[in-house]
Amino acid sequence: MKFIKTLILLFAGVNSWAVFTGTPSGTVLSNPAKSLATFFGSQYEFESTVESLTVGSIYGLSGFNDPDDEMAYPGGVVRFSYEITNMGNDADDSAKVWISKPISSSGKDWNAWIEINGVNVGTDYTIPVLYFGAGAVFKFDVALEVPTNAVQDEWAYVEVYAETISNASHIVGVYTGFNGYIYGGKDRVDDSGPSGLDPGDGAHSCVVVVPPNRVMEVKVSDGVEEKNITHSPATIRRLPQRLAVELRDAPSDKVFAWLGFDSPTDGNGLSNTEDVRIEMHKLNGWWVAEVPLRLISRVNRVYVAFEVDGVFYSEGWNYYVRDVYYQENFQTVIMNNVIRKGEKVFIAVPTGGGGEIRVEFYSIAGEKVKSETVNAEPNSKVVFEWDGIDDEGQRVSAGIYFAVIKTQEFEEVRQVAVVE
Amino acid sequence: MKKVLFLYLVFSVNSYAITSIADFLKLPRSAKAESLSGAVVSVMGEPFLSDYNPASAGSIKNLSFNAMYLRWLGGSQSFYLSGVVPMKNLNLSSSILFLSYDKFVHYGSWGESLATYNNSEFLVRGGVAVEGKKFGYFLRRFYFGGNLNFVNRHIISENYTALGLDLGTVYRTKFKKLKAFGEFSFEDVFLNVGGAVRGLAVSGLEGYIPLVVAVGGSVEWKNLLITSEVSVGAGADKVFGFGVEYSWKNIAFARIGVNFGRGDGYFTFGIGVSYPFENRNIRVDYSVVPFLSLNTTHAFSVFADFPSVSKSDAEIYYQKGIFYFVNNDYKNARKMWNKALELDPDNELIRRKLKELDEIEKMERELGVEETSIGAGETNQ
Repeated sequence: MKFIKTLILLFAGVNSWAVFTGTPSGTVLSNPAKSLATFFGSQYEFESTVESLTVGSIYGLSGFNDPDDEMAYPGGVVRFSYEITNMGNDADDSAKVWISKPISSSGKDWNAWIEINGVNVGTDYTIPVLYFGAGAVFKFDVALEVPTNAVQDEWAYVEVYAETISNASHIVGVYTGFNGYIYGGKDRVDDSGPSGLDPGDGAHSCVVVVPPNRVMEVKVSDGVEEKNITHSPATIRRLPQRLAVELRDAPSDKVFAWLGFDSPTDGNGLSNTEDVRIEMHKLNGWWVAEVPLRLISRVNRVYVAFEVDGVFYSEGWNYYVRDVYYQENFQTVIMNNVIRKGEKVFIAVPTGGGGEIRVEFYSIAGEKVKSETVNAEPNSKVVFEWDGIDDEGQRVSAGIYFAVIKTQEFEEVRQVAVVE
Repeated sequence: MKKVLFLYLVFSVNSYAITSIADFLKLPRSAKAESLSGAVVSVMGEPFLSDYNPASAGSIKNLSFNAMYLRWLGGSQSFYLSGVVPMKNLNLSSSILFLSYDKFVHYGSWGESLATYNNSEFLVRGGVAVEGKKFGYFLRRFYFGGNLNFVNRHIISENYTALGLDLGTVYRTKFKKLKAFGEFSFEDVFLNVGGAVRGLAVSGLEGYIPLVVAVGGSVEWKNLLITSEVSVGAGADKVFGFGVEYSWKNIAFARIGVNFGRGDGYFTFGIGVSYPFENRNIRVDYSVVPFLSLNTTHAFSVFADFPSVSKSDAEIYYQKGIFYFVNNDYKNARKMWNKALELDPDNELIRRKLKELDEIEKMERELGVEETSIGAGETNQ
């Protein structure tokens, strides 16, 4: 699995202090990043190096800013993209980049190398002068390979270095930092990242080991509404439901939804024998599972977990199930039957013995404007929806319309108001 | 100039009328119309027909009225009243159509009841119709008419109003004899061709009446009326309607119609009974439309006219004729009505009475009934 991160050259920042004549270093020193120098101690060589530069010399690595860690599976390779820019006034014949040995939290050996156009060039690379004229931007990737025996939340990083020699002044500079950023390394600041290992500002080329996949979002729909239950539960109707999950990566094998009814699912059905496992299928980039009405006909709360490539993912996702209102003298339940532009009316129809169920919408003149037929499974419900658009694709005019619902067992007429 | 005006109206329709369609305006105005599947744009002689073609009021000679009660789809009901007042140079017509929907319950997104509404819509129409002969000999077989419509619709808490204009014409001619096949020929055949544009928008209001263009033809021959029509509404498919009416001595009527283009299409059926009073006609009609998907609908309507002969010298003779007629003295009835017709030769009612008399006498001859002379009426006196 490849992760390629594109890092953007902060030309604006570079140019703004490049035009200062005399002492660009003064600008740098006034940067708040100066305080980091103390924190990082010997890693921060920026200050002394910059001080020796003269205007028009090479300013070294360009900056980038990405606060996130990269994540990878055991055995995976992550690639970080870098740029080095010759800000001098002539070609540089002695510029090079190199990386440190990966520094891992567990002490295990991680593997890292530099790639130029996807080719492994080792850990120390001299940039050909041909590619590094005045103003040239040289791009390279740093690849970091996760050991196959790495465990979750283990991390490692590499330090990236660049050395440039200006032909104009023949001043040698070795940069691991620029404008307050350290290229490679972790600041050990525990802010918002997973497992307390977020490197925060100034940390890059760091890889954290994660499970083979990640659940990004979880949604559930009842045919009337769709609710996001990723971070908190929601309440939806006791109608046939569709559970949808967005995964960070494409699974290599099957995806299953585990449902626990009125108690959390354990993901194996052993301690909780009521648990149900439903295979999911892909739809519009999401993995979806149809939850039939019979499963939720008596439950008040559904707990959800996922099995992706054999790994169980559970973060306590759940939702509540509530009955829709009974409407006297009708077997169907109509919802939101006054529709304005962009709104929809919904009709839940009991399927009885199953078979063909049809709904037709008529105007007061008896003209059919819309119809839809489904083949329904028995002892369930189907939800029809109408947005006021006729079979010709035109929005119908304001007025009262009649929805005629025909099942194998009964026929009903419901009223819908379309208003401007 | 007229062409320019017409084109202006047509183009103004394109600009506005398509935006809103008040479908309730397609409701039938009479059981007769409904049982003929609404294909009445070329039919003449009754006030309700002005709603279909404003020109149709042009041939009406008497003060006359139509009224209707309609039990319509989804428990809705409609009431309708129309009338025509013949003036010297033109006929005035007007009508009111009111539609009341069944109680509407507004349900929320969980199916909960939120509110209940009584939805209704109504149309008020006023129009004029003239005979073409007022404009010149070459237009003598034409009738022209125009209506102004005001529509108000109350849907949930929304209120919609609109103004619209209808224009129409009918060409009516009579064939004394039409050769058919072999020796057979049709005698006294009336042919009507009509066309109307309904719902020409008048700008400046918040809603617009739908534009409907309808053309049709009808044939009257003896006891038969055969009519057909094609209409197309703005943004809608063409609707084809066909209808046949058979009358028995202008007393009993049977009608059937078929319709294509409105939903799945459907058949319509109806009957009518007419009773000639001394100086007026009253006819009661009923129609049924067995909608395949929706409820079966029932329409009841009444037609009444008040012959204008009562205002002329012909009245005395006409009334005497009625007196003899109801006393079965057909001979004297014919004598009186012939005199009345001499005084008022354009009076269709007198012609119709004489025609009825022809049919009754013919029938009695066929049945072998002896001609009655001075009958029971005199005895009763």
